Amino acid sequence: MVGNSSVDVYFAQARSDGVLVVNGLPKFDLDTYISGYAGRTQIDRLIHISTHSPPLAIEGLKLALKLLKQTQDVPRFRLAWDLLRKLSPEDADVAQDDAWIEKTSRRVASDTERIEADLKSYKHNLIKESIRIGHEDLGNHLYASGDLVGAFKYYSRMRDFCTAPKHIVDMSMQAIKVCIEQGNYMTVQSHVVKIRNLTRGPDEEELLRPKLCVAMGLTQLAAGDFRAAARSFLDCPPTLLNTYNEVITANDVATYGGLCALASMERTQLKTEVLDNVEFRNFLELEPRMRKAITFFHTAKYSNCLSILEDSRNDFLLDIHLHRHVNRLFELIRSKGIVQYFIPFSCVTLSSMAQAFATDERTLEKELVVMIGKGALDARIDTKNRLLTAKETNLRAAVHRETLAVAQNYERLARMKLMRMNMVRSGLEVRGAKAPAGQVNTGIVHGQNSSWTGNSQRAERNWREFM
Amino acid sequence: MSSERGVQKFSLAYLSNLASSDTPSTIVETLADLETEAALTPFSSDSAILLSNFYSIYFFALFLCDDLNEARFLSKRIPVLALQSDPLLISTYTLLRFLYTRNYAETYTVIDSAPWSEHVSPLVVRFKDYYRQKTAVLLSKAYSSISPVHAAVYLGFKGDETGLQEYVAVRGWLLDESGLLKPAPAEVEEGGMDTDAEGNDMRIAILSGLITHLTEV
Amino acid sequence: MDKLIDNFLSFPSSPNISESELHKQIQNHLSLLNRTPAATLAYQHAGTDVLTLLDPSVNSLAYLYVLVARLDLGQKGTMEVTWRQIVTFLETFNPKQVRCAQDIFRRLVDFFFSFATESGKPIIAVRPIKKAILRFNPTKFSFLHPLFLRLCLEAKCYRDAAAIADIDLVEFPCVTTSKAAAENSRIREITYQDVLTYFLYAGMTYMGIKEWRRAADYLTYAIAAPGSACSQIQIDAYKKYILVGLLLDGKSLPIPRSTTSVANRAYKALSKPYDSFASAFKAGNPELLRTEVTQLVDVFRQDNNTGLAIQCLEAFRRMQIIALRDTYVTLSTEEISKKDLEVTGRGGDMGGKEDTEAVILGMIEREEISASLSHSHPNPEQSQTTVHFHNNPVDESCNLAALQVELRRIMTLNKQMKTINKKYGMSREFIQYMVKVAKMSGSSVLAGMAEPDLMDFDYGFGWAEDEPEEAIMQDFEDDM
Repeated sequence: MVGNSSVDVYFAQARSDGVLVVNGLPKFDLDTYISGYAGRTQIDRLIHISTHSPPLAIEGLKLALKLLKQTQDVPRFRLAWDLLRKLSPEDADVAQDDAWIEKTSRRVASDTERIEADLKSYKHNLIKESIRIGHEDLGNHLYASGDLVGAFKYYSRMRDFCTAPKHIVDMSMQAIKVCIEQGNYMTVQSHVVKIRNLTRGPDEEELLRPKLCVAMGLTQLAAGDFRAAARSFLDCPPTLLNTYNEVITANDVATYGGLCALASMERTQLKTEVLDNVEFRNFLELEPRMRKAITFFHTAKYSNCLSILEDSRNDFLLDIHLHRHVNRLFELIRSKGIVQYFIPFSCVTLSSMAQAFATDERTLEKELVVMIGKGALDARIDTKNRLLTAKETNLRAAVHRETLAVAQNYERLARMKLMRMNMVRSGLEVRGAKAPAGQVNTGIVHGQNSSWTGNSQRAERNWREFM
Repeated sequence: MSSERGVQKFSLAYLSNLASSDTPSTIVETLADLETEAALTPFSSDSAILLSNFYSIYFFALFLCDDLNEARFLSKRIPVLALQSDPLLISTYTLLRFLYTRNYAETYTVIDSAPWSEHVSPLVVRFKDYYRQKTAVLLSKAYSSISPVHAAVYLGFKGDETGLQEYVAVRGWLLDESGLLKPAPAEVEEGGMDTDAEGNDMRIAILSGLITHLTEV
Repeated sequence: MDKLIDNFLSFPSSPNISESELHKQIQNHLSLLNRTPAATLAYQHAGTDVLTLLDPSVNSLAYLYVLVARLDLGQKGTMEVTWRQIVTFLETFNPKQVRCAQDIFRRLVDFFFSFATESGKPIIAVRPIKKAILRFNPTKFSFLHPLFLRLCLEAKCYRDAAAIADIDLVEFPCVTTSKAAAENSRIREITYQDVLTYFLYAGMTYMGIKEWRRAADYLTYAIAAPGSACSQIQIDAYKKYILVGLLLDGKSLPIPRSTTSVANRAYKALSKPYDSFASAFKAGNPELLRTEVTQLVDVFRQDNNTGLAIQCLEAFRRMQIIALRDTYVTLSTEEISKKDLEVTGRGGDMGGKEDTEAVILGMIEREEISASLSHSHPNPEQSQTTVHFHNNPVDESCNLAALQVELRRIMTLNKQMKTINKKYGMSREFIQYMVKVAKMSGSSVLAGMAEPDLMDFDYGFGWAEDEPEEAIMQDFEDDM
């Protein structure tokens, strides 16, 4: 399949359109990977992989089509099939199934009609609970048929007919799922907050808390707030297991949480809050490579840590939630590594540092310049002796400078105030043209040559540069 | 009456005497007062010598005051024609441009080779010494090691190696084994201030206290 | 006629009379002079020039009146004859007498000023007027101040201009508030335009000699001037202020907090190109700055700020080199020149490594940076120059000296303020003014125009959160 010319053409175009194309293979096996999930996210993930990975594109789409046939999501089926036709027309011919499309479309339409009619009658009878369920049914039906906007609309309308906190929780959980798929994280956040503010029983709590943690974590990840995202994922109870795999798996929690923690936490924090975190350890055990990376970072073996992460870069890039943040996360982890590496030194050779970060001196130097410029690293580069040296702060000189600046500022300010006071005192305020005061009549005796005032331009004409 | 005194002062003899005796700032002040006379004297074959010497002395006095800005402005107050036709003024103006653009090599060339008049010469000699010394102080501050070739350019000893060696040796500069000159720190005039850190501590503490007091009370 | 000359010579009756006696004599003398027709004053008497009989430092008033009478009546060419006498007078007059005849004195100066500028030799008036300013109290603003700086700028006499601008103003003459009084008075009063122009000119003086700090201070006075409108002079000042900020500090200085809101709005609306230039400068990206400059050439030319803008471009490289200090301990001049920081577009060897070395040497000389250079090889062909950026920017004794200077300045300032407060503390004009302000803020028509914080003196800029501002204001509060 690799080397297929239609695939090459498609991805060449994609690349020139600015789409990220991951040429290498990920570490995971596609079938195993996708079987960890349930529901629509399987399709979404497969399509994401197919549109970003040339080697997996066709396999992914075929798998997606197979799964789609078990649903009633006709628009999705069409979309995946169109894509497959572009990539591999012969495979598309095989997968084409007009009869299924025909049959399913008809069924969806008649079901929609039926459920809408049901809802109408419920509304007529004014029984709140029935109306709520009617909305939910319609929402579920539209969701299954691939109309996320419609689904969200009906889920939202349930709100007016909720009679118990449980109802609100249900409604919000539905909304959260739809919104995560749509990438509408503002709404996800507001629903998470809404649920957290409700009182609920311990059983419910145990089921809900993990889901809320990861929903929040995804929201923060999407916003690029890695520190907060790390905390949310780290807080997630291990009871999550596979209860929420229509959104996220336990492996994902380990990966997302681990990366965010690496990007935002100090070495000691990584130890106490990640590696020694009894609950999170359950997740990390699922992703031993991530655990190793964090352990390496904690033990200051930065190049080992970075090389593990580098190995998994393709996996991260093909992940539907991570791919946009991979570069930024890697950059942060790396520069944090550099900062942490340098802490115990007052001076270190660029060559040994380049070695520790598995790079050459030139690249490292460029990286350091950027970091120092941003204020991330408190050091200076000695290009002659090829050293990085810590900045020494001369407290004594700083205090003197400060005193001097305060004194000069004081004088300047006082002078300005004095000037203003005196101008006011002497009636020399700036006035509009209409207020004639100040424009004293000059009379005949004085009128002869009064042209020199107020004319800054003439003198300035002579204001030129030297040579 | 002072302006009539001005007329009397505005003579070659007076200028010549002034140039060879007074401090640069006094010369500048005196000539600034006389500039009115100069400005009212039209440039002609009769007045050319007096005027060109007047302005040239004025320029050198400003150079010696380190006031290149004012020298620059002075050049704009002189009729362009005079600045471009009188040999003495041409030399002086050229020197100004080299000084202003920090062209050390050409600066010394002009100083050494331009046709200075007898009235200006004493100031030219003074300025050359002053400029060389000032540059030596700057080099010792700015360079931890300098190639003798560059040093010769900066100090006006191009092609005069022994001259350079003698000049820098007096200042304690050393020639290291790689053939580079290591300038010694120039002796800074301390203006009667304590140089030891403890003394400074005391003074700064007192000053800071006073300023804090003044700015807060 | 001889009697008149006798009268001239008999005043003042003796060099050491009391103040009040002198004042009385001055008034009598003035009424005599005012009664005498100009023709009588102006003409020669018995073949001798009256002025040769008078001593300008003693008989100042008579000397002044005779001069002005001659100029008033004189034909073309009178000035050519009299200008030396005017110079003598300006350099020697008695300020106590002349202060009582300000209007006549101003006419004399105006004559002299026009003569100097119209003859194309403004320089001839510079020194005499400078001396005249110094004969009065130079810390008190007078019509001579803006006139003098204007002369200096035209004549390119920056050294003399700075000598006057170096003296901080602490007083302004009071403007008569009632309209009737103004019309009756023959004195042409100082206007706010005079004051603003002076501030602008003083700023320009310091720009000429590249003293950016002082320049910014004077421009600040113009920018933050009190009032209910915004003058074009203030806008000109603000535009220059932005560029001066770049030259001083590499970034645009903030608008002073006490700036009136009407002026504030005007600055923001009218200086947009300057702001974008400043942000391009601050961003430190040479390419961005070059693009910005090509778009702003006309703006700068229209505002007569081309010279300043060019200096900004020259300063850009220096500022960027200073900034390298934060990243590097050592760097070769070659590496620095590779950064392509030269934005003036002059070509030639500008921006090369030799030029870079020369620029850094200049910066070390002017103490803009604390660094040292070193050559690697005696043969210039093979030599590399390394810049070593020092960690301790300023020598301790320099700080110490600067502190001492500043302390002295603050003590002078405090003394000046005490004197001023004593003098004007409860003066009639000031109370009148306060009443006026109270009325103004009560009037609904003017309320919108009046400066909102006129009475709120908590202004200033650049202070940390805990502002020790009360310090000065306490003194002022005593007045109220």
